[in-house]
Amino acid sequence: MQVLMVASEYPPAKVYGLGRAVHDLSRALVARGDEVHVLTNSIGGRDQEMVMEGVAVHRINYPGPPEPPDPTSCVVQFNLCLIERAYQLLPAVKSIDLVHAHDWLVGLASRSIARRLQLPLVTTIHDMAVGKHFGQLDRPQQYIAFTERWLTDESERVIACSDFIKGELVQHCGAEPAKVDVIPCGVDPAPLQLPVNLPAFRSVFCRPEERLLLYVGRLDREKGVEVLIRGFAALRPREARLRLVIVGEGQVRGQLQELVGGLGLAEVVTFLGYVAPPALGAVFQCAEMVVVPSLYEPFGMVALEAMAAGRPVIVSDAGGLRELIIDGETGLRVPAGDAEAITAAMSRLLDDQALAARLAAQGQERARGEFSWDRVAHLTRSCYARVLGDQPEGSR
Amino acid sequence: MMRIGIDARSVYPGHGGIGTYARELVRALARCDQENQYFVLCSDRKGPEPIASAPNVTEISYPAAMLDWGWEQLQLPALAEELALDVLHLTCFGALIAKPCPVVSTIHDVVFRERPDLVEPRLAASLDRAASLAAREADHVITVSGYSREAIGRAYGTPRDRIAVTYGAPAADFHPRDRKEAERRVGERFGLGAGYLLYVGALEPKKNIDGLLDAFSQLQQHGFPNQVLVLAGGVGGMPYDLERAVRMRRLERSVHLPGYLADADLPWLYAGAAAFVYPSFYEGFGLPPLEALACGIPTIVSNTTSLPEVVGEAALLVSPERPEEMAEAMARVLDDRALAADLCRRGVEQARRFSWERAAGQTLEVYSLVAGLAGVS
Repeated sequence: MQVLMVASEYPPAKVYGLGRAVHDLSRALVARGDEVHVLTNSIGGRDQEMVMEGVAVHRINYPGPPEPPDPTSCVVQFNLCLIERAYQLLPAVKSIDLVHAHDWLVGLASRSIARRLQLPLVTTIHDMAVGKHFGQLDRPQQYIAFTERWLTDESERVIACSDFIKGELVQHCGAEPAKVDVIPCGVDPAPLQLPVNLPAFRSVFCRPEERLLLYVGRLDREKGVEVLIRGFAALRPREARLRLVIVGEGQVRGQLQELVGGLGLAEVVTFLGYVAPPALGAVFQCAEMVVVPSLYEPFGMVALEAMAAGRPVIVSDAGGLRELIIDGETGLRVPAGDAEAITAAMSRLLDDQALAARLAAQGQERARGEFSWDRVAHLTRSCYARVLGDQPEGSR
Repeated sequence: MMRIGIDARSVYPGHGGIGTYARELVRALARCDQENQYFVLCSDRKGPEPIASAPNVTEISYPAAMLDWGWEQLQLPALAEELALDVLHLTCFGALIAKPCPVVSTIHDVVFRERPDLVEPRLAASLDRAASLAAREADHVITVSGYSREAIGRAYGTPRDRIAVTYGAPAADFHPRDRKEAERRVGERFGLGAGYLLYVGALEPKKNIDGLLDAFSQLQQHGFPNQVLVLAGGVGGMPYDLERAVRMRRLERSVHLPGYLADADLPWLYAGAAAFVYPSFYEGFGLPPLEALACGIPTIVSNTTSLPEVVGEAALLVSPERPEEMAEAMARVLDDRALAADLCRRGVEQARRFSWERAAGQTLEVYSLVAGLAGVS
């Protein structure tokens, strides 16, 4: 089978969750014998054509946002660049079987390319505007929500990363439930477990005797980091040698730092900024537990990465996290927004090392089995097969 | 084809020897190697001029200073991955703990281990941390002299076969120049008459500026009352009250401090000197004496650490602990025209043995060696 993936980001450029997921899925499909082309953003004019790990990567020549940046025209211009590049590639990619779009940002281009090539369109919805902003949408967000709905309509099949997102698609985008496949993200444990001199690495951000609690993710309101900080503050009088490490950037970083200062925690809460793999894997390895306190969460990639890295996790019961973590078996789950519950859960794991070790081991096993990229690629291929005429995998 | 990342955060306006090393290495690689792809990681403090312009060299700028430990450990691994590097060369100590590709690290010296009294304590601690990490974790270490290789081995127990030695070299601008033209230029530019003694380098205790001033003072008292000394360079990492040192010896009128010099001025300042003096207590390599030799200027250096290795038979060697020995050497060079002429000739010859092209070739061999190591990434 030959697939044209369309994604707004792809390594080796700096990527976030979406780019990593498309990268891992593409590699896993190639490993199963499929041919994968990826059409994606430029990285400063470099490496326009590149074969990476068997995946043919085609990059556009996007000049970057105009001055002053205007979100809507950026999106349109970006998509026009994608369309133009796809047409340049036409002779080389004419045996493509289907187009696979990733999120609304490439919707316009993906749909145009699929129509022009008379190919079916599959779309993965990684995240949705409606839930993230709790229904309060400004104009650009309304545009995103509109594109999500339109893209869902235009796609032959839609892939949701969790039952939660499937529910959102049905509710907010009017998707036929039968048209939506739930396929989780996978996780590649290898970069999370790079052999690292941990004492040396820990010294970058903590003292040797400290016990480390970790948050990783965007610092945006819906991530609930404020709740975690309050929960941590309540824990502190009891246990002196604790440090909370916060990895990530985002809109509320300044507010969170003010909160930390106001609670007198500046000495024991460290903001590391954006950290990418492989250093991120080493940060995971340094942590005694990982907390994911989201108020909204489509899937919960960080919790899955923590599990794969063999760390015990505490998660809120928001969105996809409910499906990802089995409470008391592969982690601890607390009500979203409940700082006291987070304090209690952290306290429990700090005190009960046997429990922490059991959760970590069971979490790791689940992450590596159910969430292996090989299994995810298999599920994705079944979805493709359904689109292309209901042949089960293996018959083509 | 390798994708090679070179850390050049040490290059910025007013940089020191480590910046010169990174800059000249990148330039020589760009001249000699059209095959591999180079990504030069610069600090945003660097000026707008590219270090080297070649189709296979891409310069990328980051908000990171040299020895920024957090940036190195947390951000640099991701950049190496982002650029899909086959090898990353940290040119100013350091190594990655979480490394996505093989790492080569240049340890310039271990003065902070061997003479901690000469280095500002916080800087010493940070250099020691970076160097010991490099000595343990880097796939290969590069250093700049045989002396430094032994010193690194002594300090960290690194096997000698994991340390390559690549010598620096004077840039092409350093060569003998017309004496008259030099006199005219230094006169115009710095208000100096010809025949001054010259020191070039950071103005800090490690360089033994006190010893140099003592020797110069003795020289003045013993037959050279009108001799002028030029100390060209900026402040170093260790606090040092130079003005006080000059005032105490009543040398205000005969010691000139032109500050940190532009690249274009420096060769002319050498060319107008009667002799070059470099009395440093400790050097990993010692580029300024080699620049002086290349310019054909009689050179006096201290007989310690890497300096004898660099100057060979082409300079006068003196003990940095004995100003009277230094003063005597100065007097000899100023007095004895035949000796001065002989030193000039030998100096130019000695300097020719060093070339950045050779250093680049040797460095490239190290890159190939470590990139061939399997099992990483």
